Amino acid sequence: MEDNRIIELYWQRDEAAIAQTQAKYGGYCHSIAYHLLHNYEDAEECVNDTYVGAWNAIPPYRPRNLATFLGRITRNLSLKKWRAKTAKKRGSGDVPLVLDELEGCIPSGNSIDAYMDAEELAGILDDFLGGLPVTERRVFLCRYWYFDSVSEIAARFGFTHSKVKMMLKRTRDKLLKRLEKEDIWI
Amino acid sequence: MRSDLLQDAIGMVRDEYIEDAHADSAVERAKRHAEKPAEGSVPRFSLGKMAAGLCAAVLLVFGLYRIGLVPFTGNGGGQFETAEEMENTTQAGGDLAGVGDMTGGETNVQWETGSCWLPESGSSVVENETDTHQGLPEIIWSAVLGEASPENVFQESTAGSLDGLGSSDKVIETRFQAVLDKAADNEIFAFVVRYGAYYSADSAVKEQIEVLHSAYRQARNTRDDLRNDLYWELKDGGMSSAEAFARIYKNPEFVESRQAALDALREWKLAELAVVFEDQKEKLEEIQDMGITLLYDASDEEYCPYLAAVDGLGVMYGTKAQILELGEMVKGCRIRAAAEHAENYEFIDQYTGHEIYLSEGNYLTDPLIAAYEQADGQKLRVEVQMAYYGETLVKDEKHKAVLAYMGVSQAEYEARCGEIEFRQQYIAAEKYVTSNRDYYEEVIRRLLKEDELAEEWDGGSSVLANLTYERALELAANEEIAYIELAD
Repeated sequence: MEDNRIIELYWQRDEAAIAQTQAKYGGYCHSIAYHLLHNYEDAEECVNDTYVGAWNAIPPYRPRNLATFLGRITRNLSLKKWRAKTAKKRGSGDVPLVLDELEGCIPSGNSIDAYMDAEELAGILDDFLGGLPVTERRVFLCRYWYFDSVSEIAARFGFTHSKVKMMLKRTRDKLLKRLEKEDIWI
Repeated sequence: MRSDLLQDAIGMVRDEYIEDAHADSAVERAKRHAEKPAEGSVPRFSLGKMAAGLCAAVLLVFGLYRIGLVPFTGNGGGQFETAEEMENTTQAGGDLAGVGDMTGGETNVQWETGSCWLPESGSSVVENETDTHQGLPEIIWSAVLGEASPENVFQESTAGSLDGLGSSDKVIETRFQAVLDKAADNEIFAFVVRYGAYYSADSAVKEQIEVLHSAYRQARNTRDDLRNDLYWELKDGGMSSAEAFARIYKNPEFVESRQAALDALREWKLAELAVVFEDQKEKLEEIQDMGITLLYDASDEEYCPYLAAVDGLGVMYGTKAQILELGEMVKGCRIRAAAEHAENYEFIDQYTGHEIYLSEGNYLTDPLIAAYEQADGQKLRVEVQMAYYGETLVKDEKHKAVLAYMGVSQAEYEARCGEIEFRQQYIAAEKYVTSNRDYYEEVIRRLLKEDELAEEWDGGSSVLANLTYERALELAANEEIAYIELAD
C-alpha cells in the first residue's frame, strides 16, 4: 500500500493503518532496532512502541516521509533503551564501537564551556553531510544512523572491509575538523 | 557520554540523507534483514576446510573409539530433542492481532506468533556434522524453518496460490536466486521443488479436497469467533490482554474448538498434498535425470507438514551450476530455498498471544506444578501475574490523562506531536498512565508477605516471589491473581 494511503488510514483512525505499517515497515523498523539492541524481544518492543507513537502522532501530524518518520522513532527509542540497559555495562553488537568511533570526532577541550543541543548540531551535520561526496555520505550514515556493521556496508557497496574503514576514518576526520572550525565543543 | 549528543544529532539529519543512505528502499532493507541468518548461526566452511576438519574429526573419534571413550552411536547432534525445546526458540514475525487494543487503553500491542509451524531458531547454514542426512556432501540450507511460504499460513491466499504458481516463467524464486548469485558454482544447495498450477486430479477428487477445505474454514471461523467473543468479554471487564488470553486458552470450549480446527487443517492439507504429489511426481524424476539428488518427497509423511507449508513436492540438492541449469530447463514448477530439520515441522494452527497452560482447578501453570512436585516442600521462585479488574481508560480518556500527566494542553500537543522527543515523552507518559501502578502496588502489599518478594517490583503487572506450593495455591485463589508460573 502506498504511504499516502497508509497515512490516510491513520487520519481516518482506521486500525488497519497499524497492520499496513507493520506489513510494509515492520521489518525495516525491526532491522534498525535489532542493529542497535541485538535482542529480538527488545527490538520488538521498540517497534511496537513506534507504532503506538505513530498512531498517536497521526493525526494531527502528517509525516512527509513515513519510512524515515518511523525509522527515526525506532532509532531513538532503541538508542534510549540501549543506553538504559548499558548504563552499567556495555552490551554486544556494533553500538559500542560506533560510539567509540564518534568519540574521535569530538574536539578535545572543556566539554562544558560551550554547550550545544542536538538540534543545533544536527543543522551543522546537515551542512557537513551535504558537502560530502554522495558515496561517502551514504557510508557514513549506514554506519552511524543505521548502525550497520562494516561487513554489511562492505557487502552493500561492494567495497573491501579496509576500504570501508578507511572511508569512515576520513569522514570522521573531516567531521572533527569541521566541528573544530565551528569552535564547537560538545 | 559525549558521543551520545553527537549520536542524537545524527539521528536528526535530513530525511533525504537517511533515505539516500540506502540505495534500496526501506522495504528491501526489511527483506534483507529477514533473510539474514540469525545471530549464533553456524558459519559456513569451505569444502576444503570442511574436508580437512572431517578428516581430523574422524581420526580423533576413531582414536577415542579405540581407547573406549566414544561409542559409535549418536543422536545427530544439533537437533532438537523435543518439540518443547523448539517451542522455546524465538517465534519470529507475524501478523498484527488485537490492534483493537490501541483503542482499548492498552499500550502493548498483542502479536500473533505468525508462523503456524515450530520454527527453528534461525540457522540458515549448517555444518555437515549436524546434518540430518548423515553421509551427504556439505549442503547449504539457505532457508529458515518457520519462514515457510510467503503466505506463511494456510489461509485463503495459500489455497488461491495453487492456481497462480505456474503462471510465472520464473523458476527460481528471487530470494533463492539472490543466495545463489553469491555462491561458487560447486557449492551445493538444498531446494524445494514446488508444485505447479492446475493439477489434473479428476473433479471428484478436487471436490473432496474442496469439502475438506470448507470444513477447515468453518472450524477455523468457529474457533476465531469464540476467541474474539471471549477476548472482548474479558477486556470489557477490564482485564489486561495477557491475562485475557491466558484465560481464553484455559477455556474448555476454546480448547475443543482449537483442536477441531487443527484436525480439519491437517486433514485438508494432507489430502491436497497427496493428490498433487501423485499428479506431479514425474517432475522430480525429470529433475533427477539431470543429476540432481532427491532427499525426500511427499510420500514421506514425516516431511508432509513442511512440504505442505511451502507447497512442495520434495526437497532435492545439487550444485549451484546444476540448479541454474534447472532454472533454465524446467518450466511448470518453481524452486525455492529449503530449510534443514524439516522433520521437526508439525501442523500447528495459528494462535494469538502468549499461551499459558493452566491446570484444571487452579491457576498454577503445569511446569510450576511439576517443579513443586520435585521441590520437596521447598520454596520456588515464581512469577505472580496479577489480574486487573479496575477501570480501563478508553482512548480519549487515556489521551486526556496522558496530557494531564505531561502537563501540556491539546493545542501544545498538536503543535509538537511531530517532534520525536515529544513523541517519546508521550509514549513514556502513556505507559505510566495505563500501567495501573497504584492498583498493582496495593495488591502486592496486601497479598504478599515482605519476605516473599524475590526482588523489587518494577512496576509491571507481575512480580517475582519465593513461595511454597501451599502459599502459591493460597495466593492463586485470590481473584486479583491471574496465574502463577515458574520464574525463568
